Amino acid sequence: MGRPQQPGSDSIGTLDLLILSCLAREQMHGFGIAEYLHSASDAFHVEEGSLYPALHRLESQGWIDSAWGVSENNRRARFYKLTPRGRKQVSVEVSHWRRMVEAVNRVIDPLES
Amino acid sequence: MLRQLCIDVRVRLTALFARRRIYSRADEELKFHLAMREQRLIEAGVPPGEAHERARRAMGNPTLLTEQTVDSWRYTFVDTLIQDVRYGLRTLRKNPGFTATAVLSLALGIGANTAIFSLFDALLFRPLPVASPEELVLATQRFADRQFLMLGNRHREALAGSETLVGLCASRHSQIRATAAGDSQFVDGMLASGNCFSLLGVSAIRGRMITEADDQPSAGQPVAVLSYRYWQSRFGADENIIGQSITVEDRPFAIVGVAPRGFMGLEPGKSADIILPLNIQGGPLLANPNVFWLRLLGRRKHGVSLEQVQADLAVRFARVERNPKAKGPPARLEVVPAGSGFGDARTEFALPLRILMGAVALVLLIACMNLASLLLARASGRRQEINLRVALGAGSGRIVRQLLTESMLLSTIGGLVALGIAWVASPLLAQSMSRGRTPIVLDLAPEWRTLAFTAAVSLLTGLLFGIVPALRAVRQWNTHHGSRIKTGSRRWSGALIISQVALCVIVLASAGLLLESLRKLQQVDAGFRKDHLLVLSMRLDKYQGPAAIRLHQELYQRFTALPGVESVTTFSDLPLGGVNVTTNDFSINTVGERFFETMGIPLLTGRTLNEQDALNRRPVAVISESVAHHFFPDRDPLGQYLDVMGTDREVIGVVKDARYRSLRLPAEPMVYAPAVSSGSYAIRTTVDPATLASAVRRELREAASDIPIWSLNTLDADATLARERIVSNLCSWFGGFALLIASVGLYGRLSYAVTERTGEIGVRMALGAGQGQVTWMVLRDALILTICGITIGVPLALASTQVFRSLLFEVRASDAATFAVILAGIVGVTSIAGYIPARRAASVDPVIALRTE
Repeated sequence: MGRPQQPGSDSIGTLDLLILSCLAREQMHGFGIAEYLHSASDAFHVEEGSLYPALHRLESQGWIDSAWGVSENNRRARFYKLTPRGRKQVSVEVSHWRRMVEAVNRVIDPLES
Repeated sequence: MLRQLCIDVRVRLTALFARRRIYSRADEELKFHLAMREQRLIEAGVPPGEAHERARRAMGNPTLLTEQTVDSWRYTFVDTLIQDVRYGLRTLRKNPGFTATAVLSLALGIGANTAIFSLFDALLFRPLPVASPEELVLATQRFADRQFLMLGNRHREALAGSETLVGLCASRHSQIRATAAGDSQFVDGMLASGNCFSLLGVSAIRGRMITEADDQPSAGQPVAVLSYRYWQSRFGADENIIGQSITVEDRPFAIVGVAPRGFMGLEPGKSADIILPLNIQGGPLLANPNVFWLRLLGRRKHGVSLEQVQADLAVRFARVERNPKAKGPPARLEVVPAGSGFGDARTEFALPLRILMGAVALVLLIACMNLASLLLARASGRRQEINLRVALGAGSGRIVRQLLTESMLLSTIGGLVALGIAWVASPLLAQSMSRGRTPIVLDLAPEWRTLAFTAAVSLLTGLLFGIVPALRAVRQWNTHHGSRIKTGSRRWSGALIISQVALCVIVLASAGLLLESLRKLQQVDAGFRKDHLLVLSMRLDKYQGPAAIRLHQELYQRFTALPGVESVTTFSDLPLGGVNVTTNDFSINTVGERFFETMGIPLLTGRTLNEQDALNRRPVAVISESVAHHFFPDRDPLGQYLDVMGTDREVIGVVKDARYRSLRLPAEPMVYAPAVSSGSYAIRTTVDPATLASAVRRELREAASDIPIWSLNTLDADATLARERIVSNLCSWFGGFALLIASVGLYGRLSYAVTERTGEIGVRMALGAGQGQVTWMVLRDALILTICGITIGVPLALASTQVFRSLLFEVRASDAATFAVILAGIVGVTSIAGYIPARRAASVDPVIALRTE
């Protein structure tokens, strides 16, 4: 998941989708994203080694933007937020993901019943 | 859209140039992350020491993490950039014709901008190479609407004590005669008070600069400092220069230092090749409190504003300026920022250079639009290629990026060639500016400011002409239906043509107005006969008292006896040559016998000055008409007395006014006092004055071989119009160039349209349209575009010519005749550009056209 994408490719990985969805709610710093994901589900344990390269990559693709700010405990932290393009991308990717999950479910459901 | 573009540009620049910043940022982010983890552990009850350890272990190798994070940038950008550039270069190589046209027009456009900018910068913008230049202020005085940069010694004494200044120094640039190895030369010199260089924070690169001790009237051996340039050229950068002697005005000066490389004095446009202490060289003038000949430069104290300095100095100035006898409005002190220098060249060329800067910017804009329409046309030709790339999975952003890289490549190559053009052009430009009254010496060595300017202009240009075609190319791929694209791109190229014509109107109208006022200026009556005059200037300082009189008498006889000479005289000021000594009410010209006859200034009443007046030091004067009106409005001026700098002189004659400063300014109120000779001779000839120059030189050499000639020229009355000539000529060139580019653009668009519409034209002709109708159909397009452009351009031109109203002479900024001529010219040229494709359309053979369809 931490691997860089093909340059120019418009499709994104799961971690990217998770990050963008987090940021669609509000602007956050890296630790906040990791903590939020973890609190959402124990299944998400995001390593720093994947999180920060992903954040920087998303920024270098112009989907998110960042600026220094002050964290809740008064420390200097880098906050990320979606750019207009990133916002568009989230909605595209989310619906893509939903279709994908539905399709997969339709295939595996019969196995469970 | 725009916000996203800003973000993209910033991201791209960051990725390319700010690696170090990304590193430290990633580092800090990870540190923050670590600290947060640690805090959470402590909150969960883990003891602090252990929490730190556990957090660190969980996070892994921080250096590696930083590396991986920073790598995300490298991967996206450098790679794709290199890929884009490679592909772009290949595309450009495949279309050598297009590439050459684009590069050439860009190089000319950007080159003109760079050339003008380098002059603009050297003269007006670049801060002086001194410590904290922004703190420097210059004290000037203002009489009504005229500003004078020179003040007198009494002002210096009065202002020096100000609490708002760290210090105040006095200096002036002046031509001085230096002798080395028996060869006398006039050199640009600077006289500086002893505190000048400590105040400026300029220190010598060899030896030392002038100090307070050097500047005492009682100082022992007089000292001099050389400029870097002079040290290099005249002394071959001799390392043992300190302690050598240089003869200035026949006095030996010990060389004590060499100024740093960039330091050329305080007046951009002048040089300071030999720097001398003010007191040593200017002693007699310093003693006279009424001569305004010093530049007073101060440094603001820290935290003191310009307004505070102004308020304090104005009070001090008024104290010494109060003169109950003076007529007219009193002089006011005006403090101006002097961080990028001051001086006549700046005042003279500020507006012309601004106009030229504006004109070249417009020309470049027109060239940009032309390239944009070229690229638009080319983009439709590249549709297949773009479709293929899209089919292979390239995103629209990627394609825009690729096309933009191509236009940026073009503009970068254009910019590089432009640097070469500017390198040749700016010294030439500076030279033609120098032909005026104030010779201009500028440091035009390429430096980072010019390079940065060129780089910025090139990139901006590339973005400007590339963005629309690139975006359209992508839209083309999005909408697959050809017909819709065609109308779209036609609308775009139409808009581009209209804007080009509009910009042409601005440039050409400016050029027209400037040319018209130049013509008017050339017709102004200067008050004297400008033709058939030979002017000789030399320095007589070796000849004082009786020796000077004997020399003058000999020279006078020799010159008068030359065949072709009508009359000879001496003077201190020449009409249109500026004035040297001026008081609040008038200027003073010390002249010899036959001055008025020689110059052709008519005597109105009384008599003229003769040699006996000078030899016997009679306190007499001839005054000009305006002085007579001012002082003796109700009396006969003859026999009246006039206070001329402390001497009461009897008025013995009144002459007509003449223009001394410039053709634009009203005639100078002038008082003429008798003098034997000041070393300047005017010779009125009956033959071409240039043919007499060598004879005059020979006579001078025979009479006295040891006198250096300062200048020997025919009177160049036109020199005072040098700046008007440069700006109007260059503007006309730029205007012509702009119109040429615009009409080529129009021609290209119509030709393309005719080719596209061949089928339609064939149908029309088959249905009975005549050749004339078809011609008119195409020509009409050209005319409609031109008229639209003119409609937009005229109001813009009217607004922008207002800016240089002060440069116009007896021409209104909205002069209808000039505008009419310009507009007729534009319509004429664009009609020709439209007529050629129109003819081609009319010669379409309907049979062939319909068959190919």
